[in-house]
Amino acid sequence: MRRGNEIYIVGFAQTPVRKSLEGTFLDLAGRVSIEAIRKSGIPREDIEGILITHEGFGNFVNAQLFAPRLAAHLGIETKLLGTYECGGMSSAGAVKIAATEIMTGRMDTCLIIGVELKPMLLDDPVFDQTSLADRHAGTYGPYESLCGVTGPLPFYAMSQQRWMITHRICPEDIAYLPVLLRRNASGNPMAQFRDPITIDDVLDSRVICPPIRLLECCARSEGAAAVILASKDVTRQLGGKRINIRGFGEAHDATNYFPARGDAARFPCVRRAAHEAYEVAGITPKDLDVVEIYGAFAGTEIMTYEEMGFFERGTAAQAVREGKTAIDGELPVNPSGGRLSLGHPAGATPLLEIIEVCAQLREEAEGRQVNGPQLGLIQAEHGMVNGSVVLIMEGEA
Amino acid sequence: MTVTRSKALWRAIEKNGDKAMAIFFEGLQQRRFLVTRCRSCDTLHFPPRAFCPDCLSEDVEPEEHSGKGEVYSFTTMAQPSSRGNPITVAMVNLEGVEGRVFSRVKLPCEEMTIGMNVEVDYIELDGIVLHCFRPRAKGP
Repeated sequence: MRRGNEIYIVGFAQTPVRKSLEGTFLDLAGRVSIEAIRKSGIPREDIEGILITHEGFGNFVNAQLFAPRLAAHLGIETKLLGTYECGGMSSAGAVKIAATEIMTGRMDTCLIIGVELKPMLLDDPVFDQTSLADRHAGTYGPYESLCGVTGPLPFYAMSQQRWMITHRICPEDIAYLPVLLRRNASGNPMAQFRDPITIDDVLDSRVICPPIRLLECCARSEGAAAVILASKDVTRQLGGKRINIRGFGEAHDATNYFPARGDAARFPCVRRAAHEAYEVAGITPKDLDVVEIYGAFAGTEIMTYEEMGFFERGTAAQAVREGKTAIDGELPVNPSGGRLSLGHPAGATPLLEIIEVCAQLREEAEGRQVNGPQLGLIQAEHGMVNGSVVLIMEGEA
Repeated sequence: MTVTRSKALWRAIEKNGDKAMAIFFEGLQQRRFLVTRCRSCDTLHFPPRAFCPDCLSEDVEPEEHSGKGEVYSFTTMAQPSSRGNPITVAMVNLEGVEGRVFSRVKLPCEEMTIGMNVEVDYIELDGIVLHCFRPRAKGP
């Protein structure tokens, strides 16, 4: 970074991503925290901050005072403690806040934890219709929920519909991406979906919200992850390959889910966040060796590649089809399997993206290792890509 | 006492909306489709607003709209009140209005096109009147 202290990622840990995991919030958060601290080599008493993304992806149940409960559980006294929430990008936002505090010199280390346990509202008899309706109206908007919206998929479908028509994208173009991501995931034991699929499997899968098919959707998964950031001074005393945070960007549009005006097939926030990060790091997309993109749905993921500046507008689907984003391609994207095949425990997803890029830069991604990467990037978002965070990371010897 | 889904939703909507929204839904119950006009910059907005999102003036008033517009995009979705059967939904740009309307459309998805002309219609669910759209012939 140009200003302030340098920031490094010195420890990380994750659970596998699965449909369901054994354990409660405290179990999972505790497990990844302890493992990340042990791997970092930093004594527990030297951890100066804890930021968390609470379980249930915006689920308000027991959301209050999560962070103090966890700090007590771990026995860590801190100078920064709290929960950060902004939809799917929450844990990336938390990393950015921790990085900023370290840059100012106020603290030297911070532990960031993201946990996702599936909200059981739909089938849990404890929750009545009132709280369920309240949740939908609060999350997706009162006008939309009155028309029966209980999830974000219809909005993504309508955005993708316009993109496909404008750029004459056919379903076959999109179907290649889930196949590629599944192939990447087959080498990742942490991934939820590892059995190979074909283009026909994707095209024959059920249409959920036209034009989006089942195998073009992420799954709601369970998982937990922890990352430890440290200043250069602290990092110098530790062994292992160091991962430097070279730059970051963050941008939000004045929209929530489907934009009221303008082109709903564009994600200006992604472009703004990416350009800020590129500028701070002094790089262009061509310099990147490995990338993790949020991509909750196949079409949206391809649209995001274009906003990131990886490919010209309207050409990313073809680039994916030609293998340019494969592990051995010119810009490997989502070697983890991405949200479609790694799985999508939203509260932990941005941390899982960071962990994958760290593993790649340290050449520890057995079974899916990109050839000798130096520079990596992650992108995370919230809503229907209404806001985005981008982090650029570099491996140092 | 069991709270039905519609009643629960209605309560949640009142709680999560704003004052302007309450006026819109009162209008709906009388089958009137309301937007707001900003008297300061003379712009029409949907959803109805308590202040103008363009010039921040609070001098806004509800105004009945013809309900004519065109489809910006569309898809289908399953929902509890449709007993699992997918319903067609769309984002509609209303004539002369800033802001889009999300609503169900009385037409099978296969017959939908981007840019098609629609007009507002009403349906009643559990005693609550809701807006929806239906195809409209071209012309005046």
